[in-house]
Amino acid sequence: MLSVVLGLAVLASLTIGAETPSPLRVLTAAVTGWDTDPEAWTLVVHYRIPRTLVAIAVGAALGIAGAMIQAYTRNPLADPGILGVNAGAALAVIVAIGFGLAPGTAYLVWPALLGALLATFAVLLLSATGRGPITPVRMTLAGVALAAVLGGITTTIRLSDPVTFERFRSWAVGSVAGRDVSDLAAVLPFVVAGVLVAVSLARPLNAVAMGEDVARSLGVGVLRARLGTVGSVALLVGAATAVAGPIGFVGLMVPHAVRLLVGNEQTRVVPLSVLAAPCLLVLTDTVSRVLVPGREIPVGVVTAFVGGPVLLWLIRSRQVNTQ
Amino acid sequence: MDVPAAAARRRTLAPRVPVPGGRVLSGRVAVRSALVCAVLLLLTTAVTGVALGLGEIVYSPAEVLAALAGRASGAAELFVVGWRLPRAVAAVVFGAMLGVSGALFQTVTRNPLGSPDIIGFTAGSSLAGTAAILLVGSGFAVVAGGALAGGLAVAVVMVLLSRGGGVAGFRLVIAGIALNAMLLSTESWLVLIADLDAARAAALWGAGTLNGADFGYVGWAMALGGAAIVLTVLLLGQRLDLLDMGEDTSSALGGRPARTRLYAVGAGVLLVALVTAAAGPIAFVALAAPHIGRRLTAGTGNALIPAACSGAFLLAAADLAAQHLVPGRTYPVGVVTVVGGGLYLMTLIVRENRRATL
Repeated sequence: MLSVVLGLAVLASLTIGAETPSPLRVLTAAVTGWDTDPEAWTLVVHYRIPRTLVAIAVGAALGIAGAMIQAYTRNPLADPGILGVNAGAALAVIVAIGFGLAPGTAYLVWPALLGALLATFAVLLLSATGRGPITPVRMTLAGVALAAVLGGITTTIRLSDPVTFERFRSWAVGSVAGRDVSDLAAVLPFVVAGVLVAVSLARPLNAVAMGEDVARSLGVGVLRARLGTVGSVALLVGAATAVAGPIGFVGLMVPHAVRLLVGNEQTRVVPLSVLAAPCLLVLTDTVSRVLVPGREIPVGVVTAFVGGPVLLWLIRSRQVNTQ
Repeated sequence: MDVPAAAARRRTLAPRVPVPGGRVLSGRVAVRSALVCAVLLLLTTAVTGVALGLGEIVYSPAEVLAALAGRASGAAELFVVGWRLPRAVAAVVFGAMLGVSGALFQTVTRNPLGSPDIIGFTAGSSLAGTAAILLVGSGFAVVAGGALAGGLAVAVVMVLLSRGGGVAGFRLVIAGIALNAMLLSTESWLVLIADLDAARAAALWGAGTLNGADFGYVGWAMALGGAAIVLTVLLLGQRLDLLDMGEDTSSALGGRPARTRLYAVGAGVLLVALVTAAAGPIAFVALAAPHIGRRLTAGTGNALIPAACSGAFLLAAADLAAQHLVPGRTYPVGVVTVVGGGLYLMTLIVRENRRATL
């Protein structure tokens, strides 16, 4: 059923925008090529298809990253944005832009990956200090603190010169507009690798979710599962952030929605997140094009406005034990 | 996160001073609190003195004093009194305003993390201020009006959300994350669609800076803020002490908690918005200053004055660091406070983790 939703979402994404040809015309143009309907063909093939593909890849990456990190930390509030992983990627990206190391989007992948990885480690280490269980409270606060420090440094570099500022401001808002296929190709291997690691870890993470001791007694390599999770989260978030900029809340919302449908079984949550997250991001991106007439809103802004209330609802409905 | 409650260690003096007419004037002075505030103010004065002396031309303390007294050469007077003094005074006053604001919010929310930065008032003021700069212009009245409106709007949202106890304790932090995300993403969008120069001006303001502060521009904010602090301490101080004891106790003692809370939130928003309007969002001073004040005074009593003193010291020190930590470069003070504040929050987390209280 989710595949059908995704199909419809993709069709909507190809169709709706500043120009809205009929769905039929879009499909005909895409199939028959440039000769019959050059206008629609150019629009669809040059603008809409790359953008939709980027949204699918980024959505899938963020959704799975969210599912993984929520299962791993046993924290329903975990999200790359909330935990400061996006901030880590952002800092690394602006360092790369500021020092002239990244002439194009493709070059942003490595710094974004590195930043995401370091930030993930940092936030986990920070919340694992001291005694007692790692509670959602600890982890969220660690994320807030980390994001503050990293964000402060990012601001400093951002203001240092106009060129960096100009490039970074278009990246920092989180958008899939204006990306082309080569940008996608640069990050796709990382997304695929991250997804594969995530799928292979679904079963071990199920066991880890029951507690480390149980997992060990079931013969699961806890350390390997943990390292694998951190690695895949960094791969997925780093790749998604490199191409689209920091987009929050997708990783928070999608696993919750999926768990409402299929329960806590990680082997089902991960594959369904792969479908559900692109649905969400493709649809939000489509809406973001027409929400304000004559002007596109970056999808990162829209996800914040969808995700913020969802987060409020999560804590108000007491789905989250916050002591 | 409990505040160290060491009421037993609090010593008070209760002087009774006979005044003419056969009456006796009596009052209570918390000795430790007064001492701590005095020391903090001395430190603040010292930091301010250093800030006045340092710069491209360095003046000795004696020369600074001479310039302040109006007995120095024209150049020294221009540098020290004309350029450095407004900025140094602004740091002290704004720091005190942020400290008081933080203490108000932390008391009202009964939550040590309930500072305006975490709840989202700072982000609300910042967004509205940015919008005002980009859409209308960068005059003080415009930006101040915008920042105040933004802060109040967030206050209304927060009050609506907290009905029915929905955002008590840690939930407040999460609600703040949600609000912050929405506000900041909108702000980065506004910066994106504006033209480059206006966007850079807005972004520089958005980083929080005292660069180029002069009495003409920040004077209004300082005067209003100073008056607001005095009024808050005089009118709300005792009632906030009652509120600290809990809703029921406060009601029973005639503290009228609902009204106190309303006034306190209003004063807190006003203070944050004034600082934000004049200098841009300066994060985390409002979070850290009341904590430091309370730890130093080791009491749970009136937190406003120690918070004001610590805030003044923190922002004065942060602005000194912003100007002189890296030779030859001046950073926005907001960057220093956000990095320092984040590190401070980290140490808090580590400490609480060690006690396994989070």
